[in-house]
Amino acid sequence: MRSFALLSISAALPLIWGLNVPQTYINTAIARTIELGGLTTQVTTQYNIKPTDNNPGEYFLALAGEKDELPAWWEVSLGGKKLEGRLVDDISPTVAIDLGTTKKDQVITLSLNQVLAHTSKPLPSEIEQKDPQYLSWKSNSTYVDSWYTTDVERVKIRAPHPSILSASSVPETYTRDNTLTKSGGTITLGPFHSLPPTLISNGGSQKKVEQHPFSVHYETKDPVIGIRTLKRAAEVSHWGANLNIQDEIDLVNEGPKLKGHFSRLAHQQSKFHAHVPAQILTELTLKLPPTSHSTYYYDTIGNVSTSHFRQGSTPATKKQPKGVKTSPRIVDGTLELKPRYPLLGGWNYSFTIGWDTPLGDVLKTDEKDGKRILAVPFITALKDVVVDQAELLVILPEGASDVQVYTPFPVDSIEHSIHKTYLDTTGRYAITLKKTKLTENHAQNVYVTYHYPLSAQFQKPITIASLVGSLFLLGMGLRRVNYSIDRK
Amino acid sequence: MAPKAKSPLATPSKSSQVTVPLPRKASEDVLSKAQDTDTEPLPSGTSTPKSNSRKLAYPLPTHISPTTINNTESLLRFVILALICGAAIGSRLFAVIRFESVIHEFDPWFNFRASKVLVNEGFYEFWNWFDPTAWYPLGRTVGTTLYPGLMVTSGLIWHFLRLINMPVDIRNVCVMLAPGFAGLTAWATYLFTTEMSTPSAGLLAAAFIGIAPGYISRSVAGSYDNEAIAIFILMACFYSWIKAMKTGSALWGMLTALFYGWMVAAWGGYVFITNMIPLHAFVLILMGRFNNRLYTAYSSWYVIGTISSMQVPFVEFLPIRTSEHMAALGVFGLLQLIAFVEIVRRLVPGKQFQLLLRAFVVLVFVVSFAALVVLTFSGWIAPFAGRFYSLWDTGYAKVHMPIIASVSEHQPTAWPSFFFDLEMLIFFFPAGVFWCFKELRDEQIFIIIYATLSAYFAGVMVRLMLVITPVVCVASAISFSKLLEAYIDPIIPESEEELEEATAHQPMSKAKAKKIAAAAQQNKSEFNFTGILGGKGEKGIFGLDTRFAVVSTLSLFLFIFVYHCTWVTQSAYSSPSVVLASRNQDGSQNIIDDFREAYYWIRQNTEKDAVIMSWWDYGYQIAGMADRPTLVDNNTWNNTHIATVGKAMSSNEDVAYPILRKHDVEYVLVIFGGLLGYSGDDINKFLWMVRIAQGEWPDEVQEVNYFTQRGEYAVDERATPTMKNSLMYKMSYYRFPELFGGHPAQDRVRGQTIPSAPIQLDTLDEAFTSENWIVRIYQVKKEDPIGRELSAVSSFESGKKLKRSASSDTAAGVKKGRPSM
Repeated sequence: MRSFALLSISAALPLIWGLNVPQTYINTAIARTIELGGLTTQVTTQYNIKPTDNNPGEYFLALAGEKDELPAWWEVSLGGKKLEGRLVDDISPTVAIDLGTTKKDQVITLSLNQVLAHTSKPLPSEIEQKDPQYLSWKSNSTYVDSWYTTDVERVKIRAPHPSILSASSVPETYTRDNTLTKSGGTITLGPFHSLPPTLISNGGSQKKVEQHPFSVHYETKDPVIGIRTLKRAAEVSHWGANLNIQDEIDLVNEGPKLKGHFSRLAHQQSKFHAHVPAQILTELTLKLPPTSHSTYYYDTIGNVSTSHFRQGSTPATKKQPKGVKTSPRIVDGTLELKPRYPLLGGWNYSFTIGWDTPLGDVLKTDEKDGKRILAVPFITALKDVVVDQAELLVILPEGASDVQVYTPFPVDSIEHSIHKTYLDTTGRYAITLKKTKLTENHAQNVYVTYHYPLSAQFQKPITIASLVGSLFLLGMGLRRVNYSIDRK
Repeated sequence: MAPKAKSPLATPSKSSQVTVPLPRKASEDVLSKAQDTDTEPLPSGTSTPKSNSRKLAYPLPTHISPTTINNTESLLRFVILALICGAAIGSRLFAVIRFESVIHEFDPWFNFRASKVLVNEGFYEFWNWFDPTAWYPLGRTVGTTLYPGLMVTSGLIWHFLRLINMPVDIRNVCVMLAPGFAGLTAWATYLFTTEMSTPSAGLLAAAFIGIAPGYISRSVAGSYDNEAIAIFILMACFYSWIKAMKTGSALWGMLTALFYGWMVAAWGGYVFITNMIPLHAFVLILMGRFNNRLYTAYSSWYVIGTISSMQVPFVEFLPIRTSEHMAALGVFGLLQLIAFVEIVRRLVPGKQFQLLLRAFVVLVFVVSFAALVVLTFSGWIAPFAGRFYSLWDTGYAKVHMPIIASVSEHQPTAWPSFFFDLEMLIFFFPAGVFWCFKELRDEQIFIIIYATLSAYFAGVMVRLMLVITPVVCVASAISFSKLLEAYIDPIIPESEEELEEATAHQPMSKAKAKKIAAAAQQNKSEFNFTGILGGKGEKGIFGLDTRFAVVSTLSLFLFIFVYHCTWVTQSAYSSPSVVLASRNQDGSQNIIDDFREAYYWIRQNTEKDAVIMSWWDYGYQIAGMADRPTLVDNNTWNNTHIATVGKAMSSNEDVAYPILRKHDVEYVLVIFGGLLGYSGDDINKFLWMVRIAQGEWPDEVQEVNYFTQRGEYAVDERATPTMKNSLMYKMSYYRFPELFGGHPAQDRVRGQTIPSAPIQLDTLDEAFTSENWIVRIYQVKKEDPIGRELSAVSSFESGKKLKRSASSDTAAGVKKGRPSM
């Protein structure tokens, strides 16, 4: 049985080295908004671009500065429509976008959404239990990185809380009136005028802007939570009409480390005064699919009783599976998890959660060829959380064949294997997907298609029935044998 | 069925046969044959053609073929036994349903950890396992200091389940092992009791052992301890011994030996079997009941059993080197001698020669006994272990082994606990034993010996209630079923007049009637019980009302028994003690999970090799849940090490700190129940720490110093300075009064008010306290980098604080710090 995975186009294409960007576009205006958070940074950029030629070719959109890493997640769209592009990697990760036929001086508005991971670091890196926590956000680029000349450019940085301790300064080379404006929790850089490109391709000889690093030191009122590893196992059962999803999570408080020791007394007093310091994680809320039920939450040494699950509900349908609530509108299930102990800076906590979803909600059958299409979410979104290592194991029922995997974003590896579990004879088809650095935007479905013939459905009952039958036969036979060494 | 005619009022079914005064010796073989036919038992007078000629209290269905009855009976027995097994398993699941599938208490955590090693790293790794994290820095050679039977059993089950593609978590295997084996115990008890009496008594015994709290107390789901499988093996071993002794089959003897070998591998209580079987054999010999069957059974058991027991590393040569095992060896030798004598006697007639032989037997016996004594005193054979002595003298442990005495389950049993654990069975138990006396077949002697021995042991130690429970169930099931059989039996006895009338009408049977009369006359001259117990005489059960009254009373007893068992199980024996539960005001359950909170914190947020010091009770739990090295644990093999911990806990910081540092202690863990009212905390165990420490260092730690002048154990203002300065006191109450915000700080366990003067810890830092303050963890400070005393450092630092707040001069603080600089 051979099967292969189709990856989304961008990752499958080889990267091109030694990029040569023709100067066939100019950016008439760029507006960038940077939302600072804990571990992730949301960057939204609007590009107004204008071809300087009648046949300009591809537009090269820089995703990061020189020698920077590719952002954890990015998406380019034109008028609300997602654009595919090919990823090229030269001195900076860049995506080449084919805009089709464009005329000279036609203004096109591109928007780029990016999520950067681990761009903020706690500063100071050690605080006491009652202290507020500050993060320092660092970027190598003050200006928006671009391969083209820019007429006007503005960068807005929004901190989650108005108290900003400090921010770097900006050179006044390209500014006219304002260079840096601070109002509340927002810092505005620019507007900058007539910026030359910040990136120059090989052999290019144009004028180039020197990038300056930029940093903001700000306060955050939410605990900074990271997930070191997340192992998700999704097991399909056609007999039980059930999809079980189980997550093994290694959680860590990535905020400033605890200086000194944890005092329960102080913690209880701060709770009593409803003023728990921001760095302490006491509760975590997960949104589950509306029809999910039978949740569980345990760790290495047993069940964690401090959790609360509010089941979601959906409008009533004809074929309502058992254990699903109904309501006029769709309500997500919420799983409120309380770790065994409050998580202070630098503390770890690993645990396992899981839930069941009716298979009908996630599995569709293609009427034509009987192909099954299964949708499994890669991760469950947690706001402002970065998953460093994620692994998704999809276990298909015994007897599934012609398996194909479709991922919504490029993944690091896909492995196919056989997984043997309860009363299996030939084993179940299993697919393992691995990826590093995931953010809440990666909470998308992975699609798996497979064939599941009727004969496979009866494999297990027949096996067990024949096994039990043969045991009875054996017993019958053994009872009729005389073992006695006496001759009577 | 001749005896039936002799005693028309016979107790139902088989038992009537044995009422005939046959010569003992001759009766044996007859009886054992009769017992063999017991396996297809007759119902109590349901359809025997004989009963047709008698008066019946209530009509019975006729025209049912005996085959149908037989088949129905065996099907019913099977179904009932299956249901009993189900009930036995079900009643042990309270803890799983109320809480979760979790390992309970203390020792099971070690067994669980060992099972994980066995399963994850293989058998040989387990066999050679040296655990460097226990008894830091000594370590423990676990493979040779534990009974591996339990872990190997669950490991085998786990591997078997894996083999048939049932990947069950080893934790679930461990949790469910005890209930599973309880089901098997019910089955083994059924077989055992059937050998003793009737299958109906067997079913009752199975039901009793299935739900008797005395056994449930050690076998609820999650209590993964040696006793969980030991009671099954005990009953199976006894059953096969009885079977071997009755049939004289070497196969059954070997089976006994294999069960014995398993028992040796599983539980230290195997010594009970080691002495029980020889004692039984010895008593049989004394009663003149030696025969070849006994010889075969005993010899095959002893030889194979001893060899198999010596395979266990922890036991090794103990069976030939210690006094506990000498009885078995002695009886083995005695049996050989007697067998030899028997053979010689058969070949050589002549009275004098026989006398000579007997003298020879006695002489050899005496000489070998003397040799044994000499060997014992010369040190070749180890005398009885201390734990064994504590069985004879309950005060022994308190004087010589405070550690053993400090364990609550080693205390003498309080008499209400007999009723608590066995309810009505304890009253039916003597009746069953009495019945055994009345029958006095070989196997019933076994019951009598077992009952006597275990009754004594159960009185001496609480945990040995476990040993008496099976025999109580068996004996009371026998008496119960005798009663029920007597009163359910529909046959109405014929009164004497009727009898005479009958004889008059039937002259043919006149001779018979005379015989009966003569027998009755003879009986009267002997000591005899009357009525049902006597099994003869003209008294009996006539009316339906009597039957109804007794049977309904007995059923009521049974119902109350079930109710009592369920109540005791759910209220007393189903708490994991790792997880505590309390009731909220609205009746809902509130889980208190402080232990696991703290252990998991240690596991996740401390260095992998950080040494934790705590009192030994928590050693296994820390190793199992927190996965960190501990100084002492529940395997209390090194008294000095435990006393060291006791000394550190009961001394002041200046004395304790060097001890902590010398043992590389990183964290100190104490259990404190004062906030919540959890009475099993360390302050309540503190006196034992003091006592054990005093045993090693009588000059440095003295128990009297911890009592007030009036002899009270106080933690409030009255507490002695020694008490207040002890590490344990300081760690328990550190910052506790602040929690009350100016109000008096009430310790809810001891009902005393803790003085609000702040406690200063110089050498420890509070590292973690659980939600309800039950577990408090302190980190040991490192030596001051510039060589000051830690007390000087802390006073220096508090001095600095004073300067900041009150701007007073810091001279005092600096001065204090200086001398050691």
